[in-house]
Amino acid sequence: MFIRTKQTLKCIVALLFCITVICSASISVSAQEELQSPAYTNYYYEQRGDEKVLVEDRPVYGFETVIDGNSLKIDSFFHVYDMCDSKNGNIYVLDSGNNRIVVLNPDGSLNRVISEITLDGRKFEMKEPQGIYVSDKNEIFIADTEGERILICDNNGAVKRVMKAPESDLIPNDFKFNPIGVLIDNSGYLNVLTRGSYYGAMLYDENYEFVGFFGANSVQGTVLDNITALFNSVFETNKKKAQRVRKIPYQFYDFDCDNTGFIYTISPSDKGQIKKINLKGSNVLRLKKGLSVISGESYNFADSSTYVDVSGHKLKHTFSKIAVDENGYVYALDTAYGQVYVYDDSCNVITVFGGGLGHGDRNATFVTASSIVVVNGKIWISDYEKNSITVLSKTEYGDLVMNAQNETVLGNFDAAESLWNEVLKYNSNHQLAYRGLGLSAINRKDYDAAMKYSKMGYDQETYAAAYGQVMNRFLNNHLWWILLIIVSILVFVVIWFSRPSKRDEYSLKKSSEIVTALKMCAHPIEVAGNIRAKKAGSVIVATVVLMLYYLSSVSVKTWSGFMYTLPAQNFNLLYALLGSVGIVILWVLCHWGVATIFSGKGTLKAIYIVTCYCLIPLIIYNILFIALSYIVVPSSTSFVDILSMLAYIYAAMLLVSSLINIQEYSVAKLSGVVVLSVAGMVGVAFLLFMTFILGQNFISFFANIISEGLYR
Amino acid sequence: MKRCFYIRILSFLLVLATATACFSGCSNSKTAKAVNKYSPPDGSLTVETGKVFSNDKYVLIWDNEKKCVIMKDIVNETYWSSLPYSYYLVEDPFGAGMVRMYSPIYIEYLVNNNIRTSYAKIDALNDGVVTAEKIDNGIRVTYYFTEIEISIPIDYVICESGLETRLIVEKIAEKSNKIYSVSLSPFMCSAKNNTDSYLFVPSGSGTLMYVDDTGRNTRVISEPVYGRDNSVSTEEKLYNESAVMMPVYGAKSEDSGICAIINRGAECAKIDAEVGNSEYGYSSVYATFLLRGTNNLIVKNAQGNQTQIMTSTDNLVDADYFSVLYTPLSPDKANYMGMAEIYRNWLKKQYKISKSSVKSPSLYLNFLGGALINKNIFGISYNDLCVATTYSNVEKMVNEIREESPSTVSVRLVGFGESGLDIGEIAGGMELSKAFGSSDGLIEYCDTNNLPLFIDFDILGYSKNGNGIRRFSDAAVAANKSYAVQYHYSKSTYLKNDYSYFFVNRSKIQEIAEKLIKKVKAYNISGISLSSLCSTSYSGYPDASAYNKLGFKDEVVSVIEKGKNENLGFIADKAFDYAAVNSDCIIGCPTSSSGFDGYDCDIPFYEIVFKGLKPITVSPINYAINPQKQFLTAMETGSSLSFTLSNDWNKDISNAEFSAFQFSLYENWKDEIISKDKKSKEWLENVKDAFIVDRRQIADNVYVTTFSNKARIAVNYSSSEIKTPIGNVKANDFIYVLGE
Repeated sequence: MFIRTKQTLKCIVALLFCITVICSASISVSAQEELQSPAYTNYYYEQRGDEKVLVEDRPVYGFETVIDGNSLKIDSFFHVYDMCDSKNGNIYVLDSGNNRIVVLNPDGSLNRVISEITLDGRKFEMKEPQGIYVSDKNEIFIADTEGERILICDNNGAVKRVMKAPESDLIPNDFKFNPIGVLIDNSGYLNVLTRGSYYGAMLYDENYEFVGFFGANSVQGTVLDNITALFNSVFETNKKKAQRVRKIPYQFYDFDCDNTGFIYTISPSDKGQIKKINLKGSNVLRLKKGLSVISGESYNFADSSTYVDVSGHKLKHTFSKIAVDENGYVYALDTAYGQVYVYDDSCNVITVFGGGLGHGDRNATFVTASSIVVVNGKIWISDYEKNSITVLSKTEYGDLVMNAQNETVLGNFDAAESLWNEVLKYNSNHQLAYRGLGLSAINRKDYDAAMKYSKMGYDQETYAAAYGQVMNRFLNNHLWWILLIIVSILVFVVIWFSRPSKRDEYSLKKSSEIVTALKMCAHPIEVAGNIRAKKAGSVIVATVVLMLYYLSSVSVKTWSGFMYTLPAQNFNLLYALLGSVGIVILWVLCHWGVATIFSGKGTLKAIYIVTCYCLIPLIIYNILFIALSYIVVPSSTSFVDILSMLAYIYAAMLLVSSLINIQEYSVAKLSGVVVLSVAGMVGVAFLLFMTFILGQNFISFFANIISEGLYR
Repeated sequence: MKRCFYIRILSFLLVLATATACFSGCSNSKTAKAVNKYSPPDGSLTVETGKVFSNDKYVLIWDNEKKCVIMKDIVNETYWSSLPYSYYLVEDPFGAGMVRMYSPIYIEYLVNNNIRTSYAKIDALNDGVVTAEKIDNGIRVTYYFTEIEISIPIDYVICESGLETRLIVEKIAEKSNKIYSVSLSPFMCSAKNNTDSYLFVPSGSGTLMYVDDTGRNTRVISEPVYGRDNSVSTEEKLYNESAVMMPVYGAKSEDSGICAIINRGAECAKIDAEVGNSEYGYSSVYATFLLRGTNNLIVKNAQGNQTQIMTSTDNLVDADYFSVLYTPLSPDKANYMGMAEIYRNWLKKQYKISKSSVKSPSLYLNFLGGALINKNIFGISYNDLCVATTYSNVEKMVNEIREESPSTVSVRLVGFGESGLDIGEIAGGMELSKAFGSSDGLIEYCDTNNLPLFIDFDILGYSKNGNGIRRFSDAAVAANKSYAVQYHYSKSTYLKNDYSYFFVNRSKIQEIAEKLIKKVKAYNISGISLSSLCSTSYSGYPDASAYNKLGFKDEVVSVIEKGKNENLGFIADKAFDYAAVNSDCIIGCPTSSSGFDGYDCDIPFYEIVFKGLKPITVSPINYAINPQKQFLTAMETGSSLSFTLSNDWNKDISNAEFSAFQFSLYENWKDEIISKDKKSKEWLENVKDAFIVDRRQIADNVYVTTFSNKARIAVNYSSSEIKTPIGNVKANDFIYVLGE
């Protein structure tokens, strides 16, 4: 009987392995039926909890025209560094290579060319100016970068004032004044960005007196960074310390001001590239991720994947320019990829478009996109290399999406609802539309519809709110029935278990090994003692428990209620196995190894058995969690969270008490061994990882030999 | 005993392996011919300056001094030469910048698999040798690039339609350097910069490049005819591509013009254009023929850095000659309309165009079946077919639309095979899957109501064994004999993603088609549509006669013939010209170009050519960037309306790799379909069989098109009302006058 069970178990394990290998099949799609796409790409990201999923979309902005010297009947542009719009909608183009400013009308036609900047009637040579700004008083501010000054001109290009580096105690000695951007905020203060400065923007008052720096970036460090720093501070010599490159904050590359006076900045960092800075200089951008709200500082506004060219070089996303429109939409220009990311105030991606990766020779793709301006539904993007300005205008679809989101943000849910419905006509997979419709439905107290829409939009918060209302309604209507059923069940259970004759027939009683395992939850010391002394534990039962733990862990991720868990887009079996079975096995091996050194009495088998048995509370919790995730509304002090905490503490207590018995350790000694075991686990994991990398290189080496052979 | 048995088995396997190795080179594919060995030129071969040949329309003149061929158009008194005629007349103003212009051919050759360029002006006319000899109706000029030891013979022949320039591939000779490509008469189709001229490039629907050079950089473009060769490995796809679907290009040079058609070897050609080069003041468009198969290989060097290198075939493509036919345009037809007419006539002559056996409905509906989605049970993943539309859904949708707007509707089912829209077994298992219900009701409904019903099959792509096609051994291979694995590309990083599939080896296409036709015949439907076959092309390595996609069009034409022989109708979707002209109906006609910055104005050249030849539709309106604009384009070109629809939308479908469903939900588009069908019915009925004879721009974004039955339509794409010769047209609207 025992042998048969063992064989069956082997068969099941082998079958599971085979299925796992065979079923990891891929899908290949036909490209015949596709949205008719322009040359440039258009997509957005669905935020599914922590996951960002790329969704193809219709163009929100459509290519309209290219403006160059030819279309304006003037000499070709040469290195356009920056553009800005004036109060009347004209576009000022800083044609740096030609030392001139070209003024365009809102329709793209030529208004005039300020062919030279003058000072006291004489021609004034700028030195590679990189920033331009036109104030409400029609004064032109030019950041004359290599000239190390800011020029304030009248609307005809006559210089009225030259601002050099200010003299102030606040400015460090090594500070170089190479201005790259100028902006006057709603308070009338002049903000200046300088190249290479990580102190933030320079702030000048209305009289152009320097008052200080504003809103600097900070260095983002990981736990590993901090540990490394600590390690280095202890072990490195002073000489080595001096040679090390210091991690400094990213400088701001560009900024813009919205209607409400917030300043938006952009940096080429890996996270928190876009900032919305309040008067205090803090970033107020927040993002909803599932049920939690995170700071914009820890959000990667660019795509998480990276382009790698055929030589293996990675192209880093480089946000370099930013513009904010009248509705608060943020347009971030990724110069390296030639793409524009459009975000709303809540960090929802409205669209991503453009492309070219530095080689763009098609409409709305770029070689070196150098600046961006947004005026009256049109986006103007200059290209430093192509010497042209690409104009894109909002499509009918784009209008719908952005208007609907505006209405939703303003709380005009009725108006938003019809717009979102229209959006869904064009794209049935629009997450913001479903989220907007969910909010509209909850606003008109149609909770069932709200649940439907918010589920489609992966909006757990709205879903939970609507579900809470539906549950309340249900409880109000059926409370008596529910209480009656619960009492009946309790009575039935009590009667069933109070019958002595039936208890002996309880099937589990027949299997002492299973009973031992179950008994672990109530009497861990006794069971551990039996396992050590009487060899009462069973490896098979322990393995079954481990498999059940794995299955329950996977089930939590795939079968839990929407309020708690989003369906995984790409479920990775390997990670799930490593995260459950892998950790347990690693723990068992490492603990056994360490315990053997420290005179532990437990055998490998005994440690494995008790460890697996201690997983029973977690299995029960996982099953309970799946059931409760459909019923209990998540909140900050959720019953489910407390349950989770209790389950883990209980499992840990079981493990500790049983290990004390198995190993015959004191609590203190066990604590030390556990710490060393965990350290060992980290070490082994690292070694396995290194082996994996080496294996990959080994395979790649042979693959290359084969390629080389084919080539020869 | 047991040992002896093993030794026997081992011996047998060894013999088998040896035999396999011995016969591995023997296959039924054509063996490649060795390239002719370069030998020093015979300088005595020469032809005196003067007339070489003439007919009643054209005279061919040879200038032995300048080594230049000139065609005189007798009727229009115009001269066309590999050198712009105004340059020909003046003394040789040769300068460094003029090398390209004075070169009747450019060649590219390979040195250690690096491409280098050589211009005939320097390496053949000046430093090499050019020989000439008279041939029937023309002259053969051989350009000897003596330094690199390559000789290229070109025949210039006068024919009824103009000058045919033939690259005699079989007589090309080389020694240590390997010829890669030849560009023919680069300035034959050219126009002087800053004049009222343009170049026509057939990218997508067709596009114009104006030849002004002030205020902008020189514009250089290059696009392969019939799209990229899918047997060449591609690591990234930077753009949404729109292929060159017609091997025709041309130049309007003030009052004159010339149209060039790649008469032979179009599959191996690419179309190059250089516009606005102020150095020599001329802009030109020309064809370049690729003569060797190539593939890209990524290898790592000793330092571990990877690099991409090009590998090429030892032999040249096995063809006798490639040719371009140049036809001058009369002053009244010196525009793209004139080019379209010449090209249409060429198509009629080249292919036997039969009257379409399919009725021309005003409405074409494509229905998407389903797609595979990835699911998992306890972490074990599997693919499941997610059904978006069942056959009964299709019947219901068609019925609803017909009730509201009674008309003949063409029904096309896409992705109703065993793997839906995804690539699985070849041709989706070659049958209508039962997962979508029973197809009998739909077939009967269409039959009863006389509605044409087509099923789409992908007979090229596959990722699973089945129907006699095996995953690796039947896959198309690249020039370096590795499998030509196909990928899809990420929208964000432009790199190929993990999902791969294959195209079937070209030698298998006919076999698959025969099998499919036999199976489809049993369904009692109007016909089939083979979208991938019509809009894809690739090489058939190692067969030298199939290098660089050569001969793919013959494969396609043969498949269509097979279907017709079995009385099956054929719908061509986004089709290259050879498939379009042989089909019963062309759907998904392109409405834009590939969007190069250098292109100034997209035109509906494709529609102008095929309207009247075959029933046509533009790409599905609901898939267009601007559906209303797409509708207007359909009206302007007399194209029927097309929509792609699905019945259901759910989150499962959203997890498919395929985004088509999110833009095609029937309930969202039903009203639009009905209203647009009602609005267009009278007009489309009136111009059903008419050709487009004239198209004029009368204001920004406003066009008036005239059809052969004298029907006229004014279409206003702008956002304000415009006055036209046939009345005022509201913004984003059209008005028409019916014809005879």
